[in-house]
Amino acid sequence: MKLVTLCVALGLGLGCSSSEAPKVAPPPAIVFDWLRNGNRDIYRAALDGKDTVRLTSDPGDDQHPTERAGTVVFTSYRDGNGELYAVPATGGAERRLTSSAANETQPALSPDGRLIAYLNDESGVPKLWLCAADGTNPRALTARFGFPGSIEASPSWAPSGDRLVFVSTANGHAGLFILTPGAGAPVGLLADSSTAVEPSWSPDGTLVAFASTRAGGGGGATNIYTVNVATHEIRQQTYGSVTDGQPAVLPDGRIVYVSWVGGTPELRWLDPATQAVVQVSPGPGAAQHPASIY
Amino acid sequence: MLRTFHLIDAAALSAFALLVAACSDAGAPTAPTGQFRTEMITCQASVRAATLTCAASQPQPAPQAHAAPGMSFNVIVGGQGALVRLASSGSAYNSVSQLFTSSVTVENLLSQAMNTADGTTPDAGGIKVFFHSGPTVTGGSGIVDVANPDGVDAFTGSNQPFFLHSSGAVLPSGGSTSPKTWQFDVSTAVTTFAFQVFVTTRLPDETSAIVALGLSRTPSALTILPGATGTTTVNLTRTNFTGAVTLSLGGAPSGVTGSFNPTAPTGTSSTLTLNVGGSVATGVYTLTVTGTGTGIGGTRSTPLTLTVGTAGVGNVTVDFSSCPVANRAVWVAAQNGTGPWNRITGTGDVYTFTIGSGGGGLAFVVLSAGDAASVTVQYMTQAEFTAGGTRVVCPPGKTINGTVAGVDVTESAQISLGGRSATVFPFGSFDFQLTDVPSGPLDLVASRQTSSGVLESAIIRRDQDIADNGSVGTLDFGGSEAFAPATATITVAGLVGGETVSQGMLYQVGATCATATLYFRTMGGATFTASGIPTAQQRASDYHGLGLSLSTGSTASRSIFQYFHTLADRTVTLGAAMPTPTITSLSGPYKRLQAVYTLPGDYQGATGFQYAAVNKAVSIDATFGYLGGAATTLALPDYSALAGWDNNWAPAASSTGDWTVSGTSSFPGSACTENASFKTAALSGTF
Repeated sequence: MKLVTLCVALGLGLGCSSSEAPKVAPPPAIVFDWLRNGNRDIYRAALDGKDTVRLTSDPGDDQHPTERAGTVVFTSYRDGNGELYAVPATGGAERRLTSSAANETQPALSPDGRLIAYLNDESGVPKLWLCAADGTNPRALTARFGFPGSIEASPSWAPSGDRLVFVSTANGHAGLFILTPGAGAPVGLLADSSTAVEPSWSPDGTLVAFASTRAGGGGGATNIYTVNVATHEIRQQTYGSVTDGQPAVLPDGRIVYVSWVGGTPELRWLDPATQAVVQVSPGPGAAQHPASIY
Repeated sequence: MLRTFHLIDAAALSAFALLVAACSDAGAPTAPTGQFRTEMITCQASVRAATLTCAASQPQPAPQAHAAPGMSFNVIVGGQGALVRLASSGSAYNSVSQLFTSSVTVENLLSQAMNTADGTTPDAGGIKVFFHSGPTVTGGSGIVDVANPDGVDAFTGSNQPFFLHSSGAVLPSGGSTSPKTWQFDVSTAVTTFAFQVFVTTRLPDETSAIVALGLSRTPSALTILPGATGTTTVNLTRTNFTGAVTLSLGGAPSGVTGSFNPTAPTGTSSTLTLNVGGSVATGVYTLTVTGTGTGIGGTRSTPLTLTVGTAGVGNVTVDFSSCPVANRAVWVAAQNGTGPWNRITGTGDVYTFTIGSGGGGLAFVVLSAGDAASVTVQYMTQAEFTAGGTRVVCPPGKTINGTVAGVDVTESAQISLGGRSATVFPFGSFDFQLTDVPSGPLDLVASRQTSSGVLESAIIRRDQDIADNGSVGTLDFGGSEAFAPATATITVAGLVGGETVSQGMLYQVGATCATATLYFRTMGGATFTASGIPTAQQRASDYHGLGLSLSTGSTASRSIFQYFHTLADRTVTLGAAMPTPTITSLSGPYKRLQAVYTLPGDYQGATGFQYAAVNKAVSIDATFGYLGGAATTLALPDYSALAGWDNNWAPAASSTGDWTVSGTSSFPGSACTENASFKTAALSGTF
């Protein structure tokens, strides 16, 4: 694996010949939260670091963006607890979607943009919920799954919009489960008991990328893996000793993720086909929770 | 400066042991042998006040059998202070180093040791308190981060910091870890921040059923007159524990006695009857209910608030008794005219007081999970207070079930009955449930919309009188009872630039003119197509309710509902925007905001002023009749001198948050009135 240092990052192609840079299509766009100048807000940018646009500016923390159909939904703590907000992907007026004493966090817009899967801790621990894209008609999705204290996290939609992969500690540790509504209890995606978190379903539906400590090494460091949904074949995608997490599979197959270097998060993308890894830092600060703009 | 920091009763060790012999369902949860136990604690810190308040998971319902055959779950259920408790010895904020510091201990309330797999050998993992979420800034601006974590690991996400407690030592049952300093980097402009943590540790027995007992009471507060009695139910949430629990009452003032029935329940509840002697002084007392049983690793306790008050008399009665326990008022006060506010001590959650010809006010407090509180103040005329007799806050009703068909994954269905409604997204379930449905014959209205909210089809079933917990059966939008909607062209007058506009259609039906929702959708421009019920499907008493909702960013909004029998082309004129109020902070032991503004002519029916900080909300409403004019001044009174009032129910004096002022138009009394209009407007800001 090679790290193509900053040739693509920041859009600074100077000094890098075209033959040195990865052969990629026009850069996809991503949304992410970015802690800079003392404020965590939602931004969008091209994967080459260009065209950065600040989408929110509230002093409270805005994080965990998700985009579909031109709308970005995110969690904001501006109201004292986690609530879901929406803002056009091109920027504009923000709309509050939820309003409750519970924390509504980690939203994931469905592929058609009509629904939001998210976490609600009304019961005391975060559980998987679903609401309309305007925040109305919320309901729990996993009422009879796991146990009352089991934690759920990081929902991600299948491109068909009929399944969700998410994290649950129903087995006593964080593992990946697939919820197929109407098909009974969620089904475990991984056969072993290694910790697996932060799944992201690939747009072609074949893979789920996730972060895991399954390689060992201690220190709690996670690497990025993919699992084939049909065959359950697992492939390790990153191998560093630093923590790699929060993967998001892009429409062109690349995986954008966060790598903590010296404790500081950096956005990177990797190409599973070439194993190329490229830093995508839009500038100073802490950028996390990347998600594709479709 | 050192101040006490409060970690409220950590509890609810959320774990399970799974008794499974031959589980072949690869998709179902499997035995968690050798896994960590987890417990969630939500914390909120006020930097200015140097306080950190943490609350554990709320008591969980009893475990339910899992669907997988051959499996059973033994769930550890929560309860404040039942299994684990975090405590602290102090906290402080240093604005120079920008460090917020607290000293934290973890107390083991389990019947078995923690941080050991065999009961004697310390586990290398220790007791970890890790950050599932946050810390995040919730007030002010700037950065907050964990400054001195003992490491990071993947618990529910990658790179989550944790504090390590009891490293290298077994924590015996009933023991506490040594204090550990938690430090947070906090910018000086941050006023509040929040985070969620979990506690993980190893236990000697993680595969067998773990014994647990949660203790709670319903209601949590009683108001009893001198010489009278009152009851509350002590709830025992059991997990793999069937033994008797001996209950006792502590902290009762002289003249107050309590008796449990049964005294040592082996079931899930016991009734506590409190007898208040005639000579007991009025006031508020905190009693403690304690449960002791063999094999539960110690005692469990839960507080009970007893208010000894005086009888209420008067011409206004407010009844909370049919509300869910969590929605009942824990404190009520009233103001006759402009006189002083007086605490009202009701009986059985029913409160009676006097409002004279000059009108007056009603104030009450409702508490909810996570130390949350809402304070409501309502000002009305005498006629408005007494209209309709007893004011039942939560009218009881029926639960009605049903299912829909003929709705695909790109559509949704809306079902309304007696003013209650439900929405079905075809994502797994086509079932719906309506709650609190009034009794008597009602018209059921159901609609199917596209993903963009376009009304496609409707069903109306007249005069439905379904038994409680009964079903309306299947509403098939592909069947013969479904019909296509009528349409008309609507023109909007009064639009201004920059507003996001949504349109919707209500349908008012039945003897009570109950509201049904047909659809809501976004729209653009001043002219649009609205959909409704065709004339052939209408009864003479039916009315459409065309709704328009406009918002400017997240700060200003307007709406109008116009009612008419027949859907036809029409023009709707919007009301004015709400003016910007003058917001000031009055003196007092908590945040007392005052809003001063002049109500526009469009909204001289009622007005409201709300503001909220972390977990604390205030709502003040007044009718135009009470105000007597457009000049409006609304503020939260100072209740601190009244018995039973807790300053912590209102936002702290140093808190920040949002405020909203709103106005609503007067109304003819029934939506089933041709061309009746109902307008609202609101404006929000920050304090």
